[in-house]
Amino acid sequence: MKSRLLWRDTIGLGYRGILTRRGRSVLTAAGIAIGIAAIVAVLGISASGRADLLAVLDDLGTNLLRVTQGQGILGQSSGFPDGAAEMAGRIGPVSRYSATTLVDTSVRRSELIPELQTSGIGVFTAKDNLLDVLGGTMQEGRFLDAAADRLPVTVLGSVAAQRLGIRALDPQPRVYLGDTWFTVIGIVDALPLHPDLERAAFIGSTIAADLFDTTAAPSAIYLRVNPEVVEDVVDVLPASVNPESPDQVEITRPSDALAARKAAEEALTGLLVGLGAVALLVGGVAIANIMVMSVLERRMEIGVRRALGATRGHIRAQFLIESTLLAAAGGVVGVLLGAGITVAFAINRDLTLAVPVAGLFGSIGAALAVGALAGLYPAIRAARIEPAEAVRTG
Amino acid sequence: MSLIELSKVSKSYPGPPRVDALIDVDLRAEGGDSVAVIGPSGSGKSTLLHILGALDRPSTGSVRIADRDISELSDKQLSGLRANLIGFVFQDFFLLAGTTALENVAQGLLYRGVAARERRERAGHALETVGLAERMDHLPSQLSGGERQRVAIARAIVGNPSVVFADEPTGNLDTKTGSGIVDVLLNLNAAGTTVVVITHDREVAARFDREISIRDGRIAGERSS
Repeated sequence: MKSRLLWRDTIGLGYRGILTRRGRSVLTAAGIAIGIAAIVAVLGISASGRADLLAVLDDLGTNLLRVTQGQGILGQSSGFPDGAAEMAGRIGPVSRYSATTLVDTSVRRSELIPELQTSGIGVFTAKDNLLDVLGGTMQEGRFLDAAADRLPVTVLGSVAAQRLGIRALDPQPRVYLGDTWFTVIGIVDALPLHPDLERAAFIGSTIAADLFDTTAAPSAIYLRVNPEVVEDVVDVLPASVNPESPDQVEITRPSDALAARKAAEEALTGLLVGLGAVALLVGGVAIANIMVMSVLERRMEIGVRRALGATRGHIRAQFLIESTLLAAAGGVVGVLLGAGITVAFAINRDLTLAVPVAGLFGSIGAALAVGALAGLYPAIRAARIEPAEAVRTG
Repeated sequence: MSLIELSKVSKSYPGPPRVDALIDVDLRAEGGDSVAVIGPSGSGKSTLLHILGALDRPSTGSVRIADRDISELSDKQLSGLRANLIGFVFQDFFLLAGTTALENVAQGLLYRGVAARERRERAGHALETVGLAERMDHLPSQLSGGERQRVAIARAIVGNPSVVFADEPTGNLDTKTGSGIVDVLLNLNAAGTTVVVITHDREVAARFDREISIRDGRIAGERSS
């Protein structure tokens, strides 16, 4: 002679328990929902942001080095010797290299604009492989090539083009460079790692030497290096490019800035997820509280159920399921809320939407675990209630 | 063999103050009996009913229900006994608020592992038996006291128990309504179910075959017709 409660009915009891106290259930589940929404939104937003950051890093590569000449202790700048770029290119792990030289002139829309008004645009010489080394692409037209090296043509960085008011190459625009009209043959796409080159006008080194007496000594050298030995290359670079004063050589790795940003965002994400977890915990405590109260209020129901044949286990299961369902409902609402916030944020900031699947399932799981844990103590208390005591009225 | 057999049953609550609710009670009920336990409040009759119905265990003495020794059964087995053999009716009805009469009655089969559809079907029949066929979809708050008690009786009998225990079933009802409830219980008894009622109302008690008086935790006398 056994007492049996079907699983379906146990779940039904929990469900009914939640529905009969609707207002209270909504308030109780709200705590869990807020915690889960916070976690999901933080994970989603940071995943979306990171996806973009990683894409940029992947695109640009982390093996690009930029070598410039700093100043000596007395403020003097010796400059690289001629052929410094070729010296750097001869280091084994360097796969590609290119160099630019600052040209002592300015670029203007026309001769009517005073020469001092440079709009912050620098003029640099460039070789045909510069864009390839930088990992840049053309927005319009083409980059300088060997044929263009001696001609009065220029390629503009994206910001430079904007400042000069040039958007399209048709009809062929011209800019006033020094005191010569140069034809613009191309505009380079944004170069997120090289803001200085976005504000540059590139011309061939031959014409730069002809018109502006520019030397062949580079002002900046760009190197693509075997990613595994970047540090080693950094060690030997100064002596190679400037044997006379290696201490003045400055080497930067533009991707480091992005990597630092990524690390900072990850730390922030960790912190915010931690806050979400705290909210979840508080939600769990709220559920436990309400369930303990509920057990006290429902002594009569518990007594009647025991009289009808419920075992202690059945009562325990009923309350455990009820709190778990409550938390699960909060969890689902929280995930939807968090996902909504993520989507809205991604659209607003024009980020690539990345769904942290593990995070979604993880947070639902966390909500279930919190609900079950929160319900444990109240359920045990409910099961301990003596039926004869619970149904006694007189 | 008796359906229920109490011998030398005592129940005390370790206070302070210590309360001896039952002292050396011997009692037998056979299948088909209709029994009224009568006594003033505080005489221990509710405690007696809880022990008779396997809802509580005695401090000393032995209880046998359907030839099983209660002291040898686990809590789980006692629950099984209640689910299958015993029905309870309480003075305050103890219906689930916000739940229809039909669903309330169907709860009586919940712990037998009966599927939902069959539970509702049998609950409908039980409500017909107590004369509430037209009130199945009403909530307890929409029913009168007498109707609520009939719902509670239907819940107790929906599983065809061998014995129904009713704790002051007419206590919260006026005389006429109470009399109707006694009719329902006696009809049940006529159909073969053992009925044990606790009451402090002499008129109610007089309508049962056996009348056991209890005073200060001891059986004070018995009339049987």
